[in-house]
Formats: sequence, C-alpha cells, structure tokens
Amino acid sequence: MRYHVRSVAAFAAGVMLLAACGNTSSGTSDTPVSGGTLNIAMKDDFKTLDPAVAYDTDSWSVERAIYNGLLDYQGFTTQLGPDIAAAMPTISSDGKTYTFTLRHGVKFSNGREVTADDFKYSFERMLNPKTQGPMTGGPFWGSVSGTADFYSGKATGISGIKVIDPYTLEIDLDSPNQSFLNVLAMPFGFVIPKEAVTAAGTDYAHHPVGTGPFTLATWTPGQLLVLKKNPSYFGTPAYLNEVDFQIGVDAQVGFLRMQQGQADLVQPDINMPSAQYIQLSTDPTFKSRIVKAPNVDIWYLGMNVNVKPFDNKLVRQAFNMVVNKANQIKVLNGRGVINNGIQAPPMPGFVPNYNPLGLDAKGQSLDKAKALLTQAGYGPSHPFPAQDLVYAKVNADSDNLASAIQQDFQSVGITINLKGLSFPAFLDVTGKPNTTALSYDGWIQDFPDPSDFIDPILTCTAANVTANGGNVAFYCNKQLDTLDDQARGDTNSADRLKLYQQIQDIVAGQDFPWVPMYSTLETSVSATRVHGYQLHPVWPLVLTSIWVTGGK
Amino acid sequence: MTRYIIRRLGWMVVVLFGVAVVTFIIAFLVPGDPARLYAGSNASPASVAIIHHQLGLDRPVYVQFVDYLWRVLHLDFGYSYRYSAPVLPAILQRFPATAELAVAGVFVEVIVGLPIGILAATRPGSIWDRITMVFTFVTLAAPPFWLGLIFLYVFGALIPIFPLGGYGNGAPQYLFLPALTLGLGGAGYYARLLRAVLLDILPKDYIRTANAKGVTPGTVMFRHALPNALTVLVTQLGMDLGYFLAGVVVIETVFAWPGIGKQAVDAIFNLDIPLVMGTVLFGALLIVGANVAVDIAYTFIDPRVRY
Repeated sequence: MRYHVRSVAAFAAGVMLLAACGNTSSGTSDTPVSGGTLNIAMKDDFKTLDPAVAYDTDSWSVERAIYNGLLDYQGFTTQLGPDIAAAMPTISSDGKTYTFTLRHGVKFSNGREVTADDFKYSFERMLNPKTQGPMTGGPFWGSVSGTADFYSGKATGISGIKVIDPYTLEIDLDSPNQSFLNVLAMPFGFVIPKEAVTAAGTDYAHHPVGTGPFTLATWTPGQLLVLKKNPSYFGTPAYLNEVDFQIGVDAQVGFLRMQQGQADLVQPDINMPSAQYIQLSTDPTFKSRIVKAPNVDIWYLGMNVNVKPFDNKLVRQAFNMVVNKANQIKVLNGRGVINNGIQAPPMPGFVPNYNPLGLDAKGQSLDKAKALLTQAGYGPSHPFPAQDLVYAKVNADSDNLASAIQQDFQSVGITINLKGLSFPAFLDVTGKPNTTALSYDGWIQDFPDPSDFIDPILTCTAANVTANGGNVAFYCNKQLDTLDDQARGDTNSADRLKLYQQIQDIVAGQDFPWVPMYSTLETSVSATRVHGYQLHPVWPLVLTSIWVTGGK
Repeated sequence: MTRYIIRRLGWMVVVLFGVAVVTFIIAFLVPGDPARLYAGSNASPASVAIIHHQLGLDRPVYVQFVDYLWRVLHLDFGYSYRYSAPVLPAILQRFPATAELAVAGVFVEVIVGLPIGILAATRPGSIWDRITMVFTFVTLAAPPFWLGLIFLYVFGALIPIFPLGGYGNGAPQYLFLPALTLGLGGAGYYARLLRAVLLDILPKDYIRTANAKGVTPGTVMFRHALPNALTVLVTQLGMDLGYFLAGVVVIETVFAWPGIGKQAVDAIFNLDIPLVMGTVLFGALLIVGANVAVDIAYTFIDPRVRY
C-alpha cells in the first residue's frame, strides 16, 4: 500500500531495530480498568466500512474494531494465529488446499451465529465485480481456484471456496502461495452476514454488522462516528465502553484538543506531521508519550527503464550514487533509516546494512557517479539533459525532500526540475508507460511478507500495463519473475528468504531500476489519560489494548 | 415584473447549464483516474480496470456528459466514489451546517460592519475614521485560515471559553468563532463600502434640508441616508450569502465545520468527480438564486427600480 500501513516482522534483525527505535507503547504499567470513552480526532471522514471495498488505513482503523476474519496477528506481533478459525488450517501436502475449522458460538452483533456459509458469501461478494472492490481481478486472491470464471461471469460462485459443513471451510488454490494466509488476514477477508447486506441495500458501507469487539452505534457524516463495546464479542472484551471519532479535525487543531484534554489520539493511523513532532518532542508532558515503530516502507527514486536517459544502465547506476540519503532522513527529523535495498526493515528478507554499491555513510559515492556518467557519454561537450522529478505533494515534507534531491544532483552537474503534483495526478502520470522518467515514490506493506514488496512493484506483470501500474520504473526481468514465482510456492522459509535476497541483488546491485533511499519510522502520541496504546506492526490502530483513566 | 422574473429564471437555467458544461470539462481535464483512487492506490491494474468499467468511466466522454445531464434533470447527481453514497442526499445532509454558518457570517458582517461604516462616514478624517480604516485593512488583509487558527488558539486553548472547533449539533458556542472569522473579513469590506456610499449621500440636498429642519442626526442617518445606501449593501449581501451558502471552504476546514465546503475539498482531493460536479452545480444554483433574489428585492427597497 502506498503511504500509511506499517509492519514489524517477528524476526531477529527487526526486533533489534525495534528495540533501538524507542517506545512502541505508552502507559502500560498501570492496571487496566474497564469503562470510559476514547476520543480520537480524525482529519477526514471515513470512506466506507464495507470490508470488501475499503483499502485505506482510516477505514481499516474502524473495521478492525467491528469485524473478524479467519486469522489474525497475535497480540502486537506479525505471527498469524486463529481468529474465528478454531485453529490454524490444515494444508494439503501439495500446498494447494487449506481446510479451516470454525469456532462454535461466534456471533454477529445481530445475534446470529457465524457459519462457513458466511465466509463463502463474504469472499464471493468481496470478489464480485458488482461490489466494485479492489481485490477483484487482482493478484492476492487470483490463486484461488475458479476466480477467473467467476470474474468473467462463466460461474455464479467460486469453485475453490467450499463449505464442507457449517463449521468447515475449504479453500483450494491453483498453485501454492506462501503469502495466502496473510491475504486471508487482510480486512478483505472479514466475515459479514448476508441479511445485513440485504437489509442495507446499496448502503451497507454505512450499516456494518460484524463480530468484533465493538459495534457501530452512530455515524454522522463529517462529524462523529461512535463505536460501542460489543457485549456478545467472542474474544477478550475491550476495556473501553465507547470510542468517539471526531471527524474533520485538522492535525494542528487536533493536537490543541489533545493538550486541552478534548482528544486522546490524533489521526493515529498516519505519521505525526513534522511540525507537531518537533513541538511535542520538547513538551515536558508529551515527549515521553511519543511512541515509535518502523513503518515497513521503502522510499525510492523510480527510473523508467524504457525512457531516455534511464534506458542506459550506467546512468541508473550513477544516479544510485548521488542522493544524500542521510539528508533525506534529516528532513524527516531523524524519523527513518538509510535503506539501499528493496525490502523494508524489519520485514523477513531485509538485510541490515545492505550496501551492494559500497556507498558512504550518507549513501553517496560522487566520484564513481561522475565516472559512470562519463562512461555513459556525458561530459562538458555532451551535458546530461535536465530531468523532471515528479513527486506527490502529500504533506509539508514533500517539497523539502524533493528540494534536497535537487541539490544533491546539482553537485554532479545535473539539473533537476521539481514537478510536485496532487496525489491523484501523481498516480496517473507515474502509472502510465513512457510518461514519467524520474519519480519520487514510496511503498508500504499490505501484509508482512516480502512478496508484497516485489509482486506489485517490480515484476513484469506489474510493468506490462497501459495504466495504473505500481511498477513505476516499468522494469521487467524474466529471471527475477522466475525467482519470485519460485519463492511464492517455496515452503521452506530459509530457502524462500534466500530467493528474495537474490531478487534484491538483481534489483539493487545489478539492474538499478530504483534509487532506494530510506525507510521511515512511525511516530504517534497519546493523551495522558490513555494507557496501553501501542503501534501494531500491521494494523493501523488497535483499540482493544487501550484503557483510559479520568475524563469523559 | 412577472415577465422579468420568468426571464431571469430562464437565464438561470442557461447559466447552470454553462456551469455544468464547464465543470464537466474541467473534471475530465484534471489528470488522475478516479477508479484508481476508489480502488486504493495499490490495487492491481486489473482491479482498477474492472472498477473503471463499473463506474462507467470507459464510456466516451460525450456519452457520460449526456447521461450526467439527463440524470441531473431528474435530480440524480450520481454516486459519490468517496463516500459510497448518492451525491444529492450527501450534499443536502451537509447543507444545514453551511446555511447556519453562512447566515451567522452575514449577520456578523452587518452588525460589525455597518456601525463602523457609519462612524467613519459621519466623522471623516477624525481619529475614529483612522481607527476604523486600520480595522478594515487588518480584517481584509488577514487570511481567514490564519485568523481562524489564532481565534482557536486564543479562545479555545489559551483562554478556553469556546470549543476547539466542531459542530456540536449547531450549538451557539460552536458557531461563534467560525461565524466571527467568516464575518470579520466581510465586515471590514462593508464598513469601507458604507463609508464611501454615505460620504456620497451625506452632502446631498435632501440630507442638508433634513439637518436644516432640525431633524436629529440619528433620524437623518437611519431614515434618510441609510435607506439610500441600501441598494449597494443589499447587492453585496446577496452575493455574500450566495457565496457563503455555496460552502466556505477554509473556515469549514479550520473549524471542523461539517458543511458542503469541507465536503467539496475532500471530493477534490479524492477526485470524486460526481460529488465535485454536484457541489459546484448546487453552489452555482445558490449563487445565481441569490442574485435573482437581490434583483427582485431592489423593487421593494428602491421605489425608482421598476421591471
């Protein structure tokens, strides 16, 4: 996912990095107390609470509290475990058939018990083109048998999703897919009752019914969304009685509200704006309440390998030696780490201190870069053509980050013109082939599996599109695709990670479609009455660990 | 009169049609694929293509436009991608908040601007005139978002007597600061306008006659001078009200006021073309309607005006 979701993998280097990052939770020393209301200031209204449609962290923050799926991440780790499933699935020896047994007695908030039919209904509805959800036709669920016929209308149901009995669900894949359990844990896999969808007509997005620890009490568009504790929740009940999302509150006003005791969290699903981070880092009340965790993202310059001058590998390699990556992190107030690879810390497959080009501590090697440019035919008699750097103006830091890049290239005699665009326009021009030569891009995990940092943004499939591609470099290497296919089906974790490291070597040490730059650190803060607030490695917001003392 | 009103209403339809055409063209010229945003920025190209088709965005532009006009004529403004809801009910749901703020803003403009304008006009060149001049310059020059944030900080955080934004179901304490911010800029303008108009009226013969007859200054001002300045003021008021009703984007954003202005901004950033077009058309209807209402109001305010 571009911008927003974050992750931590349960893997040694990641844990070390996490420890180095500082607090990931706040106020955990008190004894939890039940009751009270948590007030959360949000800038934008929620797009939808239909799990088949929502693909943004704002919506997921609420959906995570209302719904459940077959599997979920255990506690604040990336370790998958059963949720509505009674246990982890049994997987056939060929890795293609998953059989789930459901818990008995799990009820929707309308009182009806969840059965395997509900999962089949929810999955088919989510993948039905008529639902207009983003998973239809996509790669995540594409390996489930029968999806192609379902999309094309040849079949009315998905043959690979089978209800064996009310408590047993079988899912058949066309080919083994090691990331499929993570796919199931995404919000698109949440279960909903058919009768609620029928009753809501075309407006299920505003009338969600789930099995989660909270239920939607009211939602006044543009003003307030209220969640109430679900008394019939099958899991450990939440401490909070109520969660109020105050909608439409700008971050600046939100932090004022927090200081006045009118808000407990401000837009917790995205990183704190720089201005507030600087201010609260020195505030005696709040500086100790700032929590941090890796964002599991990678920020890079994408160089379109089909467009001059980036069709020349020597130029791409030279560009990899020019950017002062340490300076980029400085612009972000130190909230990031240099990353010369394609996987983000602490994703499995991430190699700490990876440096295939032997760059210095700033991430540069300017003399080598100049030599490579000369080798590529550029010099005083044939100066390097000025390039447009296309970037998205998503926050106050965007312009500063791009300006820093401009200065870096000036030092090797290359003129960079900055072209800041709105996010929709940015997606449009970078997603079309032969349109954008150089862009400032970012990728954030959908789920904690290294495949998510390759399939959508570095494969030939992602490059061979006419529009809306995520592979902004339009880079295609068949060898990489073969290794990726091999890794997807490889059941041996160690071998699988080696394959992903080989892929990283091809991209960052051989073909250079990107200039990998850095991975960021998520920061958030809570009011003093809030306890147990933690950044989850995958979910944008987890409410069940939080309790409040005093106040409303 | 009736013929005039019918003619004006006819032109109103023409103007609205023009607005619909221009909005539609601009919406399609803006780079970006709504389906991509609707699907999520990392949805696969195949998913986006399916949604593109489902939303009817793969049809020729003229087909989409004719379809849009046909639906608008049936009061169907389409379906908002951003909010997963029909456009017109979404706008109407937010409109009462905007209307409340607009009326309150105009009220502030009048009750602050008029006395200051009168004060300045009756004592031209005095210290009062100079003070009011400073007031008008400051209120006109101060960007509303800055003024709003200052008010929020001072009266919401430093001296917490008003809430830090929000709607509070329209409670007066929530309305006060946004209405003040909205109205102050206009109040400065009204004070300047009224001063200029009154400076033109006050030397006239009928005012001098009234003064010579020994009519009290208050009566001269409110019975003789001010009514003659009303035409100009009402014109401006009508324009302001129409403009405010169409959504006060900055004020609504700063104060978390859930009106159609804030909704329009969200729609623009999310390329929610049906909602953008619906809001623009709705806003244009209000502005054009306010102009027609002002023109009709002239006949009641100024006996010289006849249609």
